[in-house]
Amino acid sequence: MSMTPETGSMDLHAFITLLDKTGSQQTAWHPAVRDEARRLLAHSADARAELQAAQTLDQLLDKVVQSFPEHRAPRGLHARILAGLPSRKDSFADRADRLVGWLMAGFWRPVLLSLAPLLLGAWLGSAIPLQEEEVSPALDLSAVLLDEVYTSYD
Amino acid sequence: MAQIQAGDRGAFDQLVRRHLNAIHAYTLRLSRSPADADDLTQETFMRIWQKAATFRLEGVRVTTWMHRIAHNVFVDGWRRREPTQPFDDEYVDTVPSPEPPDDDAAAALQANIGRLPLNQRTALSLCLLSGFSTDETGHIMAISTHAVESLIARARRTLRQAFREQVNESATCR
Repeated sequence: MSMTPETGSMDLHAFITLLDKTGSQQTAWHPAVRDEARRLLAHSADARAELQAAQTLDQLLDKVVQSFPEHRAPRGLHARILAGLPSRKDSFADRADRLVGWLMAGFWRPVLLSLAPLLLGAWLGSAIPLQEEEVSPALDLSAVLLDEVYTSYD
Repeated sequence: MAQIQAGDRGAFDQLVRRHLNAIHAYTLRLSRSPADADDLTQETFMRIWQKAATFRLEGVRVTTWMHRIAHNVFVDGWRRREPTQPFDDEYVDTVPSPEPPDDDAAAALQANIGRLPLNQRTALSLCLLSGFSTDETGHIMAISTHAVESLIARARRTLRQAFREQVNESATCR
């Protein structure tokens, strides 16, 4: 909101911006600028003229809104819509849309989904027992034989 | 809505019955052609049926979501049919007009609203005629609330200036 440098109060341009944004009803103006606007109105004929134009516009807008009759869609359109309704197929895009919708519905859902691999890993780690190293009889025998070969050279 | 999401055609029938007039009025205001409005409305409800599963019950109101789909259908159609024309173009008003207000000033204002750029006219009509909040209007038009406020402010300024010019003209004519 711009203010005049000499007085620090609202200027006409700022007042017009206020009218454009919030309309002519002074109760709708922000309390912080309402007093400034009232001070400007007290000494500026241009500001009063702008306010009067805005008030007239608001009254006319109300009249225009009231002049709109309740709209009725053409007869037969309802039946046409229902007759043309396609069977709902679950395309890949629909499924992807649903998944995105599900994920966006709450904060905990994407968090839970991203934690899923970690939880799966932890579960697998705890479920599979540690296997002790087994020595096969063949290896055992070959080790004994080799040991005998090496010792025979000594 | 949950029933429609489950594929219940009877529930969809009720939805069409309840919102048909509002959606048709909106597409008519956008397209300004009764024939186009019929097609846009049909396409809108078809998309609503197909996209029902993506509607989130805890999100926006059903009517806001439906108006957004209608808006998207219109924009898609506009881009397909008029690739060389800007979106904000003004064109001849062929809408069956509302009851003319009883005084000339209101009638002139009504004509001036019709001459506003499409985005300003749409924002103004959603807020004033359809009673949507600026937040909901932003959701429908896929723009920010601040942008909606800015569009409405520009529309008000244009209308006020046009009104003052008309008052001055009529004063000089006397």
